[in-house]
Formats: sequence, C-alpha cells, structure tokens
Amino acid sequence: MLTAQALTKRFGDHLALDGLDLHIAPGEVFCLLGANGAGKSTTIKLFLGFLAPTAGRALVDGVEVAADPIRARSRLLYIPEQVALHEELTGLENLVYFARLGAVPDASPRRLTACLEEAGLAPTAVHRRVSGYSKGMRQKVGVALAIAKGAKALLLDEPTSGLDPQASADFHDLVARQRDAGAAVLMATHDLFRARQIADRVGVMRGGKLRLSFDAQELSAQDLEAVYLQAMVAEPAPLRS
Amino acid sequence: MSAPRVWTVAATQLRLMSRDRRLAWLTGLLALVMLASAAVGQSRNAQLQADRRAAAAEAQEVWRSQGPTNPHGAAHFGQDVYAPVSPLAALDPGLSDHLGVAVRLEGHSQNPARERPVEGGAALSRFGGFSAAWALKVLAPLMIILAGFSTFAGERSRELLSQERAAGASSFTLMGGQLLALSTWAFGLVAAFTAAGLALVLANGAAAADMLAALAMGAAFFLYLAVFVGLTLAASASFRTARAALVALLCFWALSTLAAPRLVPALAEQLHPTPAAPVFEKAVTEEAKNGANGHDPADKRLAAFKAETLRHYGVTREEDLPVNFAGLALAFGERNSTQTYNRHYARLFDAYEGQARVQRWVALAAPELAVGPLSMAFARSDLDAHLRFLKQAEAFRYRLIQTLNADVAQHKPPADGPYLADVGALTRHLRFAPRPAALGEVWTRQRANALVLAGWAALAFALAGFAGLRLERPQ
Repeated sequence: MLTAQALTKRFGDHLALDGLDLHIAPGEVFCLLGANGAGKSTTIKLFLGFLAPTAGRALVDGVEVAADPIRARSRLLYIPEQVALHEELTGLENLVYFARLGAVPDASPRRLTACLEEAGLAPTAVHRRVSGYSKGMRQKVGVALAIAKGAKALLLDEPTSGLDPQASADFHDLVARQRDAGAAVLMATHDLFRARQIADRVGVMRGGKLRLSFDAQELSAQDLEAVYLQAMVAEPAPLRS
Repeated sequence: MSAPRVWTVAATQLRLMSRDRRLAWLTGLLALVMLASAAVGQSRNAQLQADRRAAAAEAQEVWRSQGPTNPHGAAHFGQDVYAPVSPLAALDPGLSDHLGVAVRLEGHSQNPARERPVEGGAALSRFGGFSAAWALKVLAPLMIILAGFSTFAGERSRELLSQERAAGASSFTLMGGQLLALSTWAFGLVAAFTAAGLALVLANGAAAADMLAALAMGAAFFLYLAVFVGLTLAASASFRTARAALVALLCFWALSTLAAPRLVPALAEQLHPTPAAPVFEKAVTEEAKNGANGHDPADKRLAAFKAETLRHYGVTREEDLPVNFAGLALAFGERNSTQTYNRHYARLFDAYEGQARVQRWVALAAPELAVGPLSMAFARSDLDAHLRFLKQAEAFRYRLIQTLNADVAQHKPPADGPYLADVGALTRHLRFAPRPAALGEVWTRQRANALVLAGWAALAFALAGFAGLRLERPQ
C-alpha cells in the first residue's frame, strides 16, 4: 500500500533522506523511530507530495505521488502532531468541511456525527466549536475523518506527542481499529512503549537513513529501548532487515 | 480545479467570516456608513435641487417680467441658469461641491460658473471627501486586506493548509474557494451600494439611464474590490509570514488610495499647466473686449462688416438699409467674442483632457485612479459633466443673445427713443434644459479607465492563481 523505492531527499548540502526502501502492506502498522531531524517527517511529507524527491519514488496504492499527488492523497489520511482545525467551526462542521474536500461519498452530517462518535468524541462535543477542544479531541476529529474517508493508508506524524496517557491509549486503539479495517499505517513517533504495543514493524532512522527495521513484538520494551539507543549512536547490527 | 471543492471552501470561509465578530462589526459599520452617507447625500441633493429650481424659476420670472425694454439692454441684464443635480451624486458627489452651479448668461461674454456649494453649503461639503463611494474606494479595500491577509500566510494557516491539501484539495482549488468567498463578501458591499443607488434613482423619478448608471457604478466598484481580493490572497500565499503580507498590502493600499490621488494632480498640472482662474478670465476678457463687439463705431472690422452689409443690400447709407444695422453689428460682435471665448476655453479644456490622460496612465499603477473617475462619470459629478453643463449654457446663451440681436436688427428704432420689446414674449420659445450625457457617451469617455480596472482585476486574480499553484509545487 505504501512503498518507498530508493527514496531520497536533499536540501542543498543536507541529505535529509537517503535511499529509503520500504513497503507497508494493508493492515500493517510501521512505526518510524528516530531523533528530531532523523528524516521521519521528511518521509511522511514525501508520501504526501509536499516535498519532491531528489531521487527514487514514493507510491500510495500503486499511484506515484510525485506524478499525481492529488490522486495519491485521496487514498491517504494525514494526522500531524497537532491537528489544525478551523477554530470557529464546530467539530462536526470541521469534519464536514474536510470530508467534502476529500470528496468523501457520504459526507452527510448524520454519518459524520456517527464517525465522530465512533472516534470517541462525546456527543455533547460534536456541536461545540473546536476552539474549546483539547488536543486529544482534535486528534479524534482527525481519526473520524479517516473513518469517514475509509482511508487506505494513514500517515501519522508524532500524533500522540503531548497527549495524556489515557488519550494516547485511546488514540492508539483507534489506529489499531483502522489497521484491523485494512489500512496501512506509517507512524513517526518518539513513544517506544506505544510503538512496541501497536506496531507490526519498527524502523529506526538516523541521519536520513533507515538504520534497521524489525518486528516490534519480538522485543521487550527494555530491549527495544536498548536497540534504539544503540542505533542512535552507532551503526547497529541488523536484527532483521 | 474541482468546482464542488471550490464551493465547499468558499462556503466554509464565508461561514468563518460571518462568525468573526470583529469582521462582522466592521462590515456592518461600513454598510451603515455607506447607507447613512447615501441618505444624507440624498437629503442634501433634494435641498440643492429645490433651491436651484426655485432660483431658476425666479430668474425666469425676473426675465419675463422686464416689460417693454430694449433687447440689447436685456442682453446685458442677463439671466442665471443652474446646473442640474444628478441623483447618483448622493453616492458620489465627485467634484460637484467644488464647481460652480450657476452661470450668468449675458451678451458679449461667457461668464464662469459660480456659487460653489463648498463656499456656502453644508458642513459636510466643506469637510469634504466623505461619501458612500469614498467608503468603497478607501475603507472597503482596507477591510478586504484585514479579512484576507492571513488566509495562507503564517505558521498556523500553513498547518491548516497542509491538512486541507492532505484531505484532497489542491492549493489551486483552495485559492479558488478563498477568491470566491472574499469576492462574495465584496459583492455584498457593492450590492448594498448599488441598491442604494437604485433607490435614489427611484426616489428621483426613475430614469432608465440613471438606473443603468447605478449598475455601472456597482460593476466598476466590484472590479476595483476584486483587485484587492486578488492581491490580498496572492500576497497571503506568497509571503512567509502574515505580518510581512500585511505590511506589503498596507503599503500598496496607502500608496494607491491615499498617496496617488493626491500626487497625480500635481504631476498632471506640471505636465499640462492650466492658468489660474483670474488670469484666464483676464486674458479672455481683454481679447474679447479688444475685438469687434458691435459697440465701437471706430473698429475697423466693424467698418468692413458695415461696408459688406451695405453692398449686400445695394445701398450706400446705413439709413437706407431695410434692417437696423445696430442689431446686425451686435450679432457680428457676438459671433466674434464668442469665437474668442471658445478658442480660449478649447485650449483650457484641452489642458484638462491632457491632465485626464496623465491620470489614466498613472492608474496603471494605482487602481483607485481608474475607479474614481469611472464612478464620478456615471454619477455625473465629474468635470466632464460640469463642462457639458457649461457648453450647454453657452449654446443657450448664444441663441438667446442672437435672438435678441436679430429682433433689434428687424426693428429700426423709432424717432422718439430706443426700440423697446417684450423680451419675455420674444424669448418664450427658448428654454434652458440641460441634458446629461448619454450613457454611451460616458462609456466611450471612460472606456480606458474601465479597461485599466478590468486589467488590474485580471492581473490580481492571475497573481493569486499563480501563487496558489506555487503553494502546490512540492519543495
């Protein structure tokens, strides 16, 4: 569903992403770990078509992003660290707006209200302006859009950063449900614990390069942390390529 | 670009604008100011119209009730005529407060218009400048800038933009929706202005030409505001920060709406100088007085005309002429002095036209200089409308004086005194009824300004579209 083939991005002299090869199948969650500036967000922006690759290509459901970004995005849902919404609109109005932008076939208020409730937004919040929403509530609007859109792939850029543990757990439950519904998920995160919990595979990036990738469930949380820290300072021996 | 998505963006943006309390208040205030100034303008125009009608009726009455009098004495006595009041001048008074509204018609001279409203009118005209048209020219663009400068610029807006793009809308589509939304808001303001114009026309007898003129004014202002809509969104999409976009837009607004209209007259005067009114009047009056005026028997041109007249009638003495030569001499003098005045005025009007050309060129850099003349022209409160009134007054004066001179020519003076006639009866068929320029004529004169404005609007929308495409381009 999400494929990167020798995907490379250079900003002047700085190599932000160096020949990334990756394939995420439908119903699979791939967590990208790495320090700030490791290349995680660059990877996501290349899949969104916000950045043009210097070399290689990114494909979404077989559509080359650089060639037809609009068609590629129609299959995606993007949730950043802070879901940006129109503050003066209610949660439902925001969802209707974004659903119509995404040409969601049934963007009726009734269905979208159901999507918001399925994403865990309290019915009393649906018709409140989002200027009064917490970060967790905003993320739920993002997930509701994924449900409404029936997105085939989710691109999540540190989506639980700053969320309290309960909200973070709720969010990961929602992502797991999307995975179970067949969505491919690429999530950039610093949260090793959640990554181990939700990911089918984990990749560690450093200096724009995917240093290693492995099945997350094969490691304990302590082992994962050790591997991650080792990968941050030195070239690790791959656990599983 | 997808039309349903464009509509979705526009509808959402309009909803957001309606929920922005500051914008809603400012919009309401601007609409209120426009409608209030239109109402005040209408009330003032109604008063001016009543005053001028009364003064014109009184002048007619005085003229008619002169009783038996010498026609040439009546020509020197003269009569006053008054400029018409355009109903749409309540929306855009243009230059009308600063131009004379009454002309004294008399033999031998073309008097300048006097009784400028600014000299004795209401305080509103002395403080000057404020009108519904002024609100659209100056305040509405400022509000468009304030409503739209941060649409794409700024970190927060860019995050939202990323999500809107990720949701499936291209930046070009988003730009289309924003252009539609802000244009719809501008259209609302212009619609209120046009509705006020139509109401004024209806209240003043509903002439079809005035109704079309009100619609033309509305169309001109819509194009003008569209310029600011396009430029505002283009700047918002092009500058990295909202503050930079705001500063650039405010600079353009200040230069275009405040500085240029004040600088251009000075530039135009430098390039096409016009004499001060007393200098002009002195020059033309002296030349007219030094020409044949029918009064000076020693004048060589008059002597030649007399010789030609005697030859024409086959006589050698003035007493043998079948007509009163004094009347023919007066008509001859009137022709000469009128030619002198017309020559001077033609030079002056040419200089005015040169100045108007300068304004049209500078309008290529400042759209306010295109919409201002367009609005005044359709409101019939511009210099052209004034000059048209002067020309019609002069044409009437010439016919009136020559009718009196012809009557003198037809009647030899009786032995016991001067020839007397009832000038009221004699000139009953002459009535001064100034007619405003036909709409087609106004359009012909203002076509260049309309094209400049349309060009500006097209350029602004093209820049916005280009900026939208640039946003879509991956880095």
